[in-house]
Amino acid sequence: MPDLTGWLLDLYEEESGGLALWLIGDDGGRHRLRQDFSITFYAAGPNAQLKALWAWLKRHPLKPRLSRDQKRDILQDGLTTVLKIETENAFRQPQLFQEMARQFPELDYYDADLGITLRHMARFGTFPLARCYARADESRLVSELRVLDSAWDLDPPRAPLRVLSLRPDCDPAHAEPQTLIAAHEGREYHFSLEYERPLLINLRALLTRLDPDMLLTAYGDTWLLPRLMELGTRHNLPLPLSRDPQRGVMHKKEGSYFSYGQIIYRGQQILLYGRCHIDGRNAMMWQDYDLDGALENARITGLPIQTAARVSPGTGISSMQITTALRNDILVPWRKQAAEKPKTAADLIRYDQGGLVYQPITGLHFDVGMIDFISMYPSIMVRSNISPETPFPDRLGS
Amino acid sequence: MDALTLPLNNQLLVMTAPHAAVPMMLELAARLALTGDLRVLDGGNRFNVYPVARSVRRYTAELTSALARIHLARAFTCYQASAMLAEMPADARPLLAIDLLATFYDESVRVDESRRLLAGCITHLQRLSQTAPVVVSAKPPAAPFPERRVLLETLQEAAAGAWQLEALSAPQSPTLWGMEA
Amino acid sequence: MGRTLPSITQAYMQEQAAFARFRRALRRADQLALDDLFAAARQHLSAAAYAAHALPMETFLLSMLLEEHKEVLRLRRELDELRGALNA
Repeated sequence: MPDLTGWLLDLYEEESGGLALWLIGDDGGRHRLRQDFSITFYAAGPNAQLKALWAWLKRHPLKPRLSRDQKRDILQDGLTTVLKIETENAFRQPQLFQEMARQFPELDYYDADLGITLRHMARFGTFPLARCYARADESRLVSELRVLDSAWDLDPPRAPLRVLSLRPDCDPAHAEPQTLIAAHEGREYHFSLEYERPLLINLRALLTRLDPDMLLTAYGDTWLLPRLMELGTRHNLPLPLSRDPQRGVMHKKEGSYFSYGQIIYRGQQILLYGRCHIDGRNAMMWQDYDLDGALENARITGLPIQTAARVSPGTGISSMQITTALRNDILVPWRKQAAEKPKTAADLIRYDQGGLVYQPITGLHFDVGMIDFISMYPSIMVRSNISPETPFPDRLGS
Repeated sequence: MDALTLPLNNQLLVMTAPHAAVPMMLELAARLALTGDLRVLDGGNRFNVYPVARSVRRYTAELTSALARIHLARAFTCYQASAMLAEMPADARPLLAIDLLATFYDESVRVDESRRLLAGCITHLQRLSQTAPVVVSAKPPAAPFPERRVLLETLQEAAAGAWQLEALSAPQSPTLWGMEA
Repeated sequence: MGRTLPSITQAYMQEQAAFARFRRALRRADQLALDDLFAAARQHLSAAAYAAHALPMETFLLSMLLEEHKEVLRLRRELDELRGALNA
């Protein structure tokens, strides 16, 4: 097959091993390629337990390659002796790891549950919508992959994304929607939700004809796509929501998690393969960022577009730390267990000042002049190297 | 402090309350800081220095030095809580663990994993209580997660003394004529 | 990462709420005067935050005093101007 250049839209693990990569080609085509990709992760702990783990892994059907190694854990002095575990099956690695962690919960694990896009970014420098050159054989197996631009380019050439938006005519929590509105490049299509078979037939035709790269929805995660999938099953007319015919969709269950003293609820998510689904009502920063912001976020964090749109900036920063650690051959611990250093209550008051913002003098003022700084906070952050991951001096003022 | 009398003995005490008895724990921190160093492990990001400072100020003008005797660290995951207790040296400084179970109730951590970690934490709490008073406050899990109740029960069973503080119910207003409404 | 201290506005509102019973027991005219005092303190919240005092109420009281003194100075100036106009 001829060499390809284009934009990397999506990549994910294949059930048979290796990865699937989707490229938006310069030729206008959407190309699905395969790439061999091994996953490496590590275990550390008392020798006896590592030996037991070795024996357990030797008997495991996945037959991972095992070896001893010495690696750097940034929270420990010197090098850490680890058991290195490698497998060619990226799809089954998470399950292998979960089983290991259950059997040997006392061991420390590293690089064990990292997103595939972050691993790929660390190894090849790829990122969502990276301009890439790919050489593949007739079976579409990639033999060479090169990234042609940088995630930090200020004005990268825009990928010619095909975007289809879908929304019900009202909020399903307030009233039963009657119409589904699809929009693409300024044209709108209205489908009645009452007539289910015609709805499905028309949607299938639209998806097949437009073959969108992006599905932007309202209530897509929590109502629309689950409803459409249920209708598709009932009428035996499944919708080709994912572009990959071999995969369905990925369901992420709803749940709540504890973060800095708050319980935060996260609705269920429907993620696609070979295509990106973003539900504007379930995307954390969507109101502020919109699609351009989500794409920029995905570029620099390395998170898949569908994930980058849904998570907080903090998760994006953690992802960047992970890829930096991987590139520098530093172990990424599985569990966040490095604790805060104790500080005194007196220090807490002294150092938690924040910035000083003058309050306006209330009243009616005349002859007012205004000085505005362009991108003041970002400029200060860049100039003074202020960022969550910047190392701090031992004591303020030193 | 009605329930606890100072000075405290070297033992593990557990206080259970709907909101993890935070005001009481802060008051205890203030009282202990008057006479010596203490450690605070904040499990639910509940420590508020202002009430502590007000309380200290009622007893002494040496506010800053008293506050400097409170050594505070926060745990944002149960793994951090576990690691912090494991690394804590056993000395004479009292330990207050505020809302210890907050991170153990995290839905994203399996119940058996939370139990395993808590068992380790209890071992260290008991170790630390050999040389200093250890007071732990906790709240019951939220209603949709009854399976997590076992964590609270395990903690209570491990303690030398356990208090359960109930929420005050709203007082019944008498009717005008003294008759039942 | 994560809140370490309540914001100065939260601390201010807590202090104000702590005086709710005192305020309730005042006559109406006195309540309005007390509200003015708290409003005066509110004008200097950012300075109170910057002061990072362990007892923010002391900073609020100083802010109230500051505003009162500014009013005294203003009245003094006005009085001097009026005197000057009368004597002219």
